[in-house]
Amino acid sequence: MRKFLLPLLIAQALAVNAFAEGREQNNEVYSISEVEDLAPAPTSNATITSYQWTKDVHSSRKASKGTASIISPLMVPHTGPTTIPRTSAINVMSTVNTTPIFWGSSWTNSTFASDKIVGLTVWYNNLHSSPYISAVSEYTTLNHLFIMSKIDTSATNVNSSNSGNVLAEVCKVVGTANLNANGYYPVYTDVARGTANYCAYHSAGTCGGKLVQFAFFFSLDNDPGCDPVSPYAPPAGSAVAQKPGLVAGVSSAYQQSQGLAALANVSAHELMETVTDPAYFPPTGGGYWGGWYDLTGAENGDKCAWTFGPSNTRLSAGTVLIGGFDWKLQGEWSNKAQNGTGGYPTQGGLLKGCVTGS
Amino acid sequence: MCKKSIHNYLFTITLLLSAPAMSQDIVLAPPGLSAQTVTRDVAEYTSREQDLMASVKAEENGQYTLLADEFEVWSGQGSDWQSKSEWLQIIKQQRNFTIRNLSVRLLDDFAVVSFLLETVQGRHNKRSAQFIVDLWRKSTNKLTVRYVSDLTPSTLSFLSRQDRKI
Repeated sequence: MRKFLLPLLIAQALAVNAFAEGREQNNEVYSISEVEDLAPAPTSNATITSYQWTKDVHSSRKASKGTASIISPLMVPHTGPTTIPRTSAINVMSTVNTTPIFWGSSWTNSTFASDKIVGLTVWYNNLHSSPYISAVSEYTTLNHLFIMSKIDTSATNVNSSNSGNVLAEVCKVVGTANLNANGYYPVYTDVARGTANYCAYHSAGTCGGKLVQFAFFFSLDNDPGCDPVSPYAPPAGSAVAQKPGLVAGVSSAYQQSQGLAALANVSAHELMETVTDPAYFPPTGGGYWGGWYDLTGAENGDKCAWTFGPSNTRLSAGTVLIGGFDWKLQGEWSNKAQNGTGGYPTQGGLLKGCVTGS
Repeated sequence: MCKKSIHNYLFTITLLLSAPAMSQDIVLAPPGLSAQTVTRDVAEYTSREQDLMASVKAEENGQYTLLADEFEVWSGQGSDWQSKSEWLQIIKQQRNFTIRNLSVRLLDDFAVVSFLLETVQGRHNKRSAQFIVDLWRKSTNKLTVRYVSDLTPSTLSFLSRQDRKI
């Protein structure tokens, strides 16, 4: 018996190794090509910024104020590798069915949960009728639908921000058979950001061969690094941060908790990026960003992160009325606004292509 | 071989056989397919590093408002620091640059900013990559010291891969 078993075990081990090596090799090719291109697909993309000095711009600005010249600030559509058959020329989402998932044992704690689940439900459920949706109208005609929230009170841990673990959580909670082809699954956790350099991210994968667009969110309670400083919520770290609940029609008061206000802002960022630049997984393997991003890899949310546009009708910059409540939301990049009018400046003030919808 | 040992072997085989199947059911996003919303600090200092490079390139009539008077650059090459004027000459030869993986730690009056800097310079488009650590004094908004480590292409490739594994 042992005579047969040992070779079989060795063969199995080799097979598993080969599988692992194949994945690693693919990853390496992908990475190297990105490094060499210096114009990569978006990969944690707000952290990648490329500039090129052009002779004419450099010389013309020599005597005046020095500013960097971006090769082109505009986002361009990407169709992925040409050798892979595509179902459409540009990969954007026109229908989005959102199922928020609240993951972590703290969601049973009323102090932690506060108004976040109700507030984000209101936010997603009414987004379609808000002006903010028009911030992506030049890329797609978006039909956004809130499906239902799901709460999983199983414990999170320090590895819960790992994209593989988030994907597994979505597949577990929703169930592979129930995954929606147009689904978007934002996962809100009770994990504090700590020293991570990001507040949230969006990503994708497949479960049982079904495409899953998802996003991950840290708990942003009392986190000034991810706080939009909304006038409709208490300041991060203040004693009343978790006290107020959602209060309709009181736009000048603390109508929402600080944690909810912060999550709503980054939720806008991730949703709008997923809509305009969802991940694409061809049947032949691999994965690609197939939508709109600029030459540095920045998507529409990245280009306007932590900037808040003027509001003609509401009290404060970045204010968007959704579901009868005021929310302070970052703008989204618009090529049209950059080339024309109606936009407000990006961080640093060099460009003017940010919009919050109208 | 005793019955228990055979049972253990069979159990092991079953596990090994099922491992690839389990892996293929849930396919992780490939490295690179996660796009982050960076923190306010990261956004702010990314913008500031760009402004710094821009001001050096544009020369600002010789006034570099983002550089502290005592600014100096340290690297692993030699034991001496690089003066401001020596560093400025090098920067002015750069034709383009890319900043990646920028992170920020705030410590009292200083912001410790680290990032990968890829540059193209000279007539022959020489590409290079460095890991930079900058110390910005928050109260003055000026860069006081920069620490530089040259990266080999393989190291850069490795770090870029790590960056994509969230």
